Order: sequence, then C-alpha cells, then structure tokens
Amino acid sequence: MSQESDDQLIEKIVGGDERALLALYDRYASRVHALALRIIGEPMAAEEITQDVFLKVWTRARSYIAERGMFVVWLLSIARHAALDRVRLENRRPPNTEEGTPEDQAEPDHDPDEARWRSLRLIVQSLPLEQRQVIEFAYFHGMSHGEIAEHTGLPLGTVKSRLRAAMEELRKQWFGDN
Amino acid sequence: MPKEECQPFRELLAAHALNALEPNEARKVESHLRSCDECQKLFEQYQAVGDGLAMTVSPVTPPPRVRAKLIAQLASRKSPKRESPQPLSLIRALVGAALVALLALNSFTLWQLTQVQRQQLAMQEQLKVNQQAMSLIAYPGARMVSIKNNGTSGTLVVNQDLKSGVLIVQGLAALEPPHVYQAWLIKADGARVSGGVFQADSQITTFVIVSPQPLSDFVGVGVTVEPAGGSPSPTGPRVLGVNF
Repeated sequence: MSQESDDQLIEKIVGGDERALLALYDRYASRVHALALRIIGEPMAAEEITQDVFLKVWTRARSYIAERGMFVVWLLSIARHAALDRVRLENRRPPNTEEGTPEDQAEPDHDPDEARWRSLRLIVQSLPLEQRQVIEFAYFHGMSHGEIAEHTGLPLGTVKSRLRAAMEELRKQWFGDN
Repeated sequence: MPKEECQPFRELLAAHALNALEPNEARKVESHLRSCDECQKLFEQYQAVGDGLAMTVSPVTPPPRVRAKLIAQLASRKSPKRESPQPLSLIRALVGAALVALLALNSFTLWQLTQVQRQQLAMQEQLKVNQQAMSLIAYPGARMVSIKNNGTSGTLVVNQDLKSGVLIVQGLAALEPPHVYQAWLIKADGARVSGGVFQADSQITTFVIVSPQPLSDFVGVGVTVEPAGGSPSPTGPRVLGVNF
C-alpha cells in the first residue's frame, strides 16, 4: 500500500494519476462502504455508492482544500451525502437496526487517528438509548427534527432536547470540556 | 462568556451541525454565526463531532468487483488534467454536426456545445442529459437567451409551449457537500417554482429544467445555492438569473 499522505495522493489525482486514486480507494474503501451500507442498508446499493464516491473524488479532487480539514472527513462527507441522496431518490425507509452491518475481518487500521475515532465510538455507545436513536436518525438517515418526530411519534420538543443533549455530551467528553 | 442573545441559537448549533434544522432555522443560525465568534467556535466542535460519527462505523471491505468496476470507469473517462482533444466517435461527430447546423447563428453557443462534446467527463448520465437537451434545442420554437453573470456565462434554451428548458453554463464552481445548485422558474409576480437541483460540472454544466407548468407561465430563471436535496423556496445566495 502507498506510503504517501492523503494530500500527496490528492495532488497526484489532480494531475491525472489513476494509481493515486486507487491507493486512496485501497486505504478508505472499507470506511466508505461501511458508511454507505449503514445508511442505505442494502449491499448492492452500497457497492454502487462506494464506486460513485471514488469517481466523485476523481472529478472533484481540485475542490479538496487541505486546510479545511482531513481528507477522510471530506471523503466520508461525500459518501454520506451520496448515500442520503440515494435514500431520498428511492424513497427508502431507514433500516431498523442501529448498526446491523457485519464487523469486518480486515486487518487493523493503520490510521494514526484511530484512537480518536475509537474513543468517540465508545462515547456514543455510552449514551442512553433514546439519545443514540436520535443521533442515528439525524446523522445516519439525514432526518430533520420534524422528520424524526414524525417517524418516532415523539413530541418535537423531546426530539430537539434529546438531540441537543446527545451532541452536547459527545462534544464535552470527546473534547474533554467538562 | 456567551451573550444573552446567543442562547436561542446555541440550542440549535448541535442540530445545525448535523443538518437537522428546517431551512428557515438553519438560515437564522448561519446568520448569527457570521457575527458571533464564540458560537462559531462551539459550532465547529459540534461539526467535528458530526464528522467523527462517520468514523465510528466499523469498516466493511467491499467485494473486489467494486474496485474492478472503478478501474473500468476510470479507463473510459478522461483524467481531470487537460489533454489534447481526443478524436470523436462517429455518433458524437454526427451529434456535433447536427448541433452545428441548428445553432449556426449563435457562434458563442456553438463554441460551448463543441466544448461539451470534447469534454466527455461524465459517462452515460451526461450523455443522456445531453440527448434530452438536444431534443429540446431542436424542437420548433426553441429560443436561446444569453446569460452573463459575475463570472458565469452561458445560454438558456426555452420553448414557451413546453415544460422543459435547458441551462448550459460555464464557470459554475463545484459545490462541496451538503450544497447543490437549484434552478427556480420565476413568475411575473415574483413567485418561484423549483426547476430541479444539480451539481456543477468541472467545465460546462448542462441541466434540463423540468417545470410543472408550461414555460409560458414564467418570465425568468434563477439559480441559488441550497442544501442537498433542495429547498421548498430559495434560501441561499443567488448565483445567476436571466429573464426570457
């Protein structure tokens, strides 16, 4: 696997280097695919979204600005929106499971930020169920407050306060702002 | 220390970071953030949490066919880097000749359309859109209106009897998620009707505007920047507008 940084590979993609795109694919396809699968809940659609996302990287590489944040964040933002657009286009209902996708048997991630993501994951899992659920609906299903209230039958005010409380707890613990 | 007037907005920052607000709420929060550094800093933390949520999903390796299909797609596309023009296929050459014949009087539009053919950026989706656009241009009574707006330029093709028009624009910047361009058909009384959402191409953007009513019910077209999926009414900045 390439030892070049994400930013170096993006520069090469701008220059038309397909191997650089494939290097990023090999590095991050499992994350893109997992997120797509989590959002759309259907394996074939998730595969198509994964392919589509990396084609978007190919055509939009020039619009990536390293100073604005990490490449993987930009990449997964594209993936999330591609998956949510597909859900809306096909008028799909969100999958029922919080995380029903199988755990990967892939080799351990060499991402140096892995500890950060793992800690956030643990904090999410420590939230009360009702707060995890509104996070799930808002982030993984792209629902607004009103849509979550309609889908769950909860009062709008309850949805707003649960989402606010959940995100505040995540922010405080993850940033150590107690 | 947060100011008192920040309180109603601070309660919405987390939801805004997840794009969970209604459009009018989101606009108000955005407006406040432009003038409040403290709230902006807090919002950035919520955004970072939101970004991190994507990383909490355990990786799942896609089947090898996904990589193989990606390679096949790359092989059939041009690279982002500019290359010397490739020879056109016979079909594309015939399409180009037909367009030249139809638009011989508008040399600027002709130049744009030949550029569209040379690009070959998108695959079948773009070809389909172009075929739709061609049929509208060729339809009797089609009228072309030039667009020149703050760095963008192009042509709007309309037929007053139909419910579709074509927007061909050069100079539209690619938007980062979660934003899209949205076309609006404008009535004489100022009311706006959505004509659809689209993304900008890296060179020339061709978009078929679909209207629920004949275009004769409208007097102009505008394009704004909106959240992904579009908005019921314009909420973002206008990037171009033209009367017809």
